[in-house]
Amino acid sequence: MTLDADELAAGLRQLARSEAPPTRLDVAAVRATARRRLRRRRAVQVVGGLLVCGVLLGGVAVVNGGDDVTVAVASVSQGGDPLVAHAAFGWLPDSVIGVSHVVGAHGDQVMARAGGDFGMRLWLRMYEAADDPPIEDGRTALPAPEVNGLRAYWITEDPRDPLNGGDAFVRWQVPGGRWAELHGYYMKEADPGAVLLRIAADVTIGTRPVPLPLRIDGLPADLDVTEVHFWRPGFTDDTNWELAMFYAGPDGTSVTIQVSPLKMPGGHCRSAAGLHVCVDAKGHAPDELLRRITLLGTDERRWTTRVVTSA
Amino acid sequence: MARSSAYDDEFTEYVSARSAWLRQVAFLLCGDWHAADELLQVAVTRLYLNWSRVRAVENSDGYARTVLVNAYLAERRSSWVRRVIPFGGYEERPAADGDLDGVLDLRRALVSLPPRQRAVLVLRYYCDLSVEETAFTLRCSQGNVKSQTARGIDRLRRMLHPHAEEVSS
Repeated sequence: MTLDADELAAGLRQLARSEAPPTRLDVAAVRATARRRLRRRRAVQVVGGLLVCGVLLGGVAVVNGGDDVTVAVASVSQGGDPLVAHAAFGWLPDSVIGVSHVVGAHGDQVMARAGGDFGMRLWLRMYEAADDPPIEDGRTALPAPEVNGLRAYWITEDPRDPLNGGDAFVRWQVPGGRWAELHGYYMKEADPGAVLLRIAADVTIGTRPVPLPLRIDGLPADLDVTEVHFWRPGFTDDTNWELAMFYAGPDGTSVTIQVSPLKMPGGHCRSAAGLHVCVDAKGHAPDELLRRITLLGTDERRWTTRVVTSA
Repeated sequence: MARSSAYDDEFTEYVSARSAWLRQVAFLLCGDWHAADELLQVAVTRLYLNWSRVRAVENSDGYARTVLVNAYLAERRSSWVRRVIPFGGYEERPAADGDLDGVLDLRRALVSLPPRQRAVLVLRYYCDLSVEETAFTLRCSQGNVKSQTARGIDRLRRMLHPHAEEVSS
């Protein structure tokens, strides 16, 4: 095998067709496990929602259930605000035009970015508490200046290059033993390492609801929020932003609510205060839901963390 | 939370139809069918947990693939991988057609790549994703995908042809 791109593709196809033992995937067991996990997650979210509504929250851990405890940097909440962040950026370079929060099956993402297709991207992530930072195969942890008095490391594929060819990762320990990660690329700064460390030092850890540009006076009680995508700016658009909230209920019912300064295609939409909202619903009346929504305008100082209120 | 039978039926139908393909992707990532089954179980559980979202998106396969790859990379960072049966427990034979030795060599070489490099090559050359699509799936820059691709292929070439100075590109 000489291995050009076509040969690699052919080799992978042949490898994927290798003789295989019978699959051990048990779909019924998957469903049973997932249902248990949903019950546990719901219990945690209820507690989390209560805490976010007024009780001090000391930790960040979000439990997905079972033994795969992960630490989310943001998550959905069944409380008054469907989107909560567990870590947040503080100081950011002037070139940053927005911070996005995306939570759901793809995982959890908090990203700050500058404008343009190749503007700076800064991703914030969290890892479980451990003595040492998580290190992937093929990477090396190089000591970096301490962040707020705690250990920090550059994570790189090239031990001679702490900033990893411009695709830079810094991981630092935060109080409680967890590890935070800042991943930056497309950075135009003269000293990107110093900028990353300054951003890291100003990251705050703690659960807080993310203000959103709408209020909903009551949602059907059987709906649970499953995903929230709050792109600021929009994924492909530097000047606008878009919010999408996905809810699911029993019997396949679902509701999607989208808000943006841009008009969106859709049959059940309304405009007010310079914003547009569209509702897509299965098993619920979209126009009835639309009537319950108040848009809070483009000035984010007027946005709220009391998004879903009792009808 | 009670789930309707329609919800379960739809999920089961999708997994039944696509699990063979997802298992192959998992095998290329893990290099071992047993580890691939463990990974598939994790990914399919996550799909169930978010099924209402999966069926709402246009590209369910893309969504499922992203969940699988993210589960693979997350678990390579965790202690989970140390609990999985390592490569070598079951010596699979490649499909009967083609270059058997070459494919076995490729499998060994792939296993030795760092996880993200392996994921990039599998997404680009098995799943046939563009650089942009691969970057979106892995949440990294296109430049990172290009560099990982170049490094991965170079490393595979060196492992498959340790004495070759010049190889075709």
